[in-house]
This record gives sequence, C-alpha cells and structure tokens, in this order.
Amino acid sequence: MDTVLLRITELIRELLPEYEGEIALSARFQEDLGMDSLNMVDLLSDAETAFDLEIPDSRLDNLDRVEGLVEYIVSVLREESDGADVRSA
Amino acid sequence: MRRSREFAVVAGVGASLPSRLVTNEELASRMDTSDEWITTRTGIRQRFVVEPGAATSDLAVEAGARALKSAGMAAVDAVLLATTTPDHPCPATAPSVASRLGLTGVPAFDVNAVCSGFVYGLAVADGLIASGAFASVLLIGADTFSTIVDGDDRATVSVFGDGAGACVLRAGRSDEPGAVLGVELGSDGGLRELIIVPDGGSRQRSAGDSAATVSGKYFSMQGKAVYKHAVRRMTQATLDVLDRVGWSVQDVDLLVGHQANKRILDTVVAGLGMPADRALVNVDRVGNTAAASIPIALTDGVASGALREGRRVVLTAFGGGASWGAAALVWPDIAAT
Repeated sequence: MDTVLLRITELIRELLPEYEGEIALSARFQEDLGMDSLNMVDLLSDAETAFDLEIPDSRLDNLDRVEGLVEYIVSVLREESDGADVRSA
Repeated sequence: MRRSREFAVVAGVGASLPSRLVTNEELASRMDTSDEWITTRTGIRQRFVVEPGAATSDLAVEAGARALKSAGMAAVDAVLLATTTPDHPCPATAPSVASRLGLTGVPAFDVNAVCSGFVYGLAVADGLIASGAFASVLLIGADTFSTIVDGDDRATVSVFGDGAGACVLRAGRSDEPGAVLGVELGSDGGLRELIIVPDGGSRQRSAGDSAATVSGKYFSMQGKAVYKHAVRRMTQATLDVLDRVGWSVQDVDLLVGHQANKRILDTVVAGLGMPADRALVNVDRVGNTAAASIPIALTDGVASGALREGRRVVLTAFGGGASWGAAALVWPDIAAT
C-alpha cells in the first residue's frame, strides 16, 4: 500500500507541478488538491500505465479521495497476484 | 512497367462560419456557467451558431465554393459530405450541396463518422482517386450541432459550434506537396454510448413514440470517458500513421487535431513528446465544430501562415462510434479564399 501511495503521489505532483501542499491519503482530489475532472482522467490514465492495469470508465465518476484510488489499485494488484498463484498451482 | 497508383493531392481549402457569434459571457448570462469555467476546461472562448431556419447544407455550399475557388477549379468528379447533422434524416445532404454548387450529375454522398468524419472522408476520397474512378473530389465537413444539443445543457452548449470546412483533392503523384501519404482509421462500437443521440433512429422508432424520452432527442456525451479515449486513440492513430509513412514524431511540423477541446490537444501533443507549439489550435475561436473542425483549422492555418508549402502535417481525430483516424501529408502551396 505504501509503495502504491508513493507512486500515486508522484503522479499527482507531475500533473500538478504548482501544488506544493501535502498529499494525504484522506485528500480529496477536487476540493483539497484543486484537480478538475480532466486532471482526474489524466491521473487514472497515468496510474493505468504506471501499474499496468485497466481502470474501467465507470470508476471515473466515483473516486473522490486519494485513499479510494490507492485502495482500488491495491485490490486489483492483489487479485492479479492471487490469480497468478492459482494458475501456477 | 506498372504505373504507380494515383495519390489524392490537396488542391484547395475553404471554410464557412455562421454569422451569429456566441461568447462565453453570453452563455454565462443565461445559464449557470462562467467564462472561467468554460475556458479552463475547454480552452473555448466563443463559437458561432446558425440562425433559425438555416441548415448544414447552407454552410457546406459556401465552404465548398471557397475550396473550389482556392483550387482554381469550377468542377469536380464527386462530392463527399462528412456530417452528423444532415438537413434531413433522409436523403443524404451531399446531392443537394452538389447541385447548389452547379455540380448536378456528379456522384454525391454523405459520410458519418461524427467528429472523425473528415478523416474518414479523406480516406474515402483518397481511395476513389487511387482506384482511378475519379480525378477530383470535393470533400466537405459540415455540422450544426447547435441543432442537436440541449440548449439548457451547459456541458455541450459551451463546447459545440456550427461551421463547415472543405478541401478539394485531385489525382497526382506521391512526391507532390499536398499528397495524402497515408491514412489510418479505426472504430470500437462497444463505446457507442459515449457520444450519442439516443432517439430518432430505427432503435427507438420501431418501438413507437412511447419509447421516446424527453432528453433522448438531444446529443449527449460522457465527457470524462470521451476525453480518456480521445487522448489515447488520437495519440495512437498519429503514431500508426507516422509508422506507415516512415516519419518520426520529430519530423512533424504541425499536428492538426480535431478541435474538440484544447486540453485534449495539449495532452496528445505532450504524450507524443512534441513541443506544445506543434499543435494547431483554433478551438478557442470556433469551438468544437465536429466534422468541420479539421478543414476549418486547415483553412485558418493557411490564412495565419502556420501551414506553408513543404510543412509535414498530421491530421488526427476521435469521434462518436467510437471512431478515430489520422492522416499524413506534406502541405502544398495554396491560398485560402
């Protein structure tokens, strides 16, 4: 979880070079970080590339905090590694 | 020895915008929006819309006439109209446009690939010329999205404008400036609901009037998902067409993307690793004019001097369907009229 958070934080800082505040797990993308809807799309696209996974379009509308995105990515990565274990067993 | 195929060569361009200017300030005075809100999200400052009673063909005829004048030609062998907003659901609008241009008798038909329509039309025109069937084609992109958006929906009213742009293509050689060197097209029908007018087609009409909804007659767009897919597809289509013609990203002098939204253009250019000034941008002045956007941008580019003879140009678009495409050409020495 910490490594995912670290990477997401880096991606947010790349997208928002002028934002110098803290990026906490509880931070809200729009209200706290000042991101708009298209920044969000860019962030999810960047996260897809960074973690080599796909975030469905339906998720574009219901992630409002850093925590939600980190938890979603962790859960997808966990499912993938569980699936790999099953296949290799 | 077998003669190499004919290539479609750009011989002239022209555009037409309706007279009624709608600024962001005007929109802010009648709905819950602001110049800042629209400009930040879209880069659009104004757009033009048709007067009541006007139709897509009115703009198409004017743009077509200007492109013919730019090419120094009075006639062509075929007329193609890329549009999603035809004058009537049936018949196609292109024959009416052709006749009003004094071209009664030539083949004329519509192409519908929404905002990718001009690139699709370019591929069709190129194919018709390459086959030897026609020596010249007038390709027009024209749309009046003000007639299909919900006037109370700030998300679409603020983005779309009406207009027409046109391009005359003639048969020529691949080494001539203006030759369309390569085209890439693609589609994904699984994304059809991202950009849609739900009602008025066979799906709803076969079910009867009771199946129609109040909002179903209007254009709707899932903005965030469209942005995501548009960035990806326009970027990939550009890379694919560069690969096809053997150019690198650094070889491209000007990227003329579908003018949907400045943010999309900025992100595509950044993703390709191009300097920001390689993108031709006129969405601030005309809004998203759908199938008309690329030929209007080309006409603006000629007028401003951004498009000059010898410049290597890539066109790229994403639209409803979903559909996408890209084309590569070296710009010719032509004047916009």
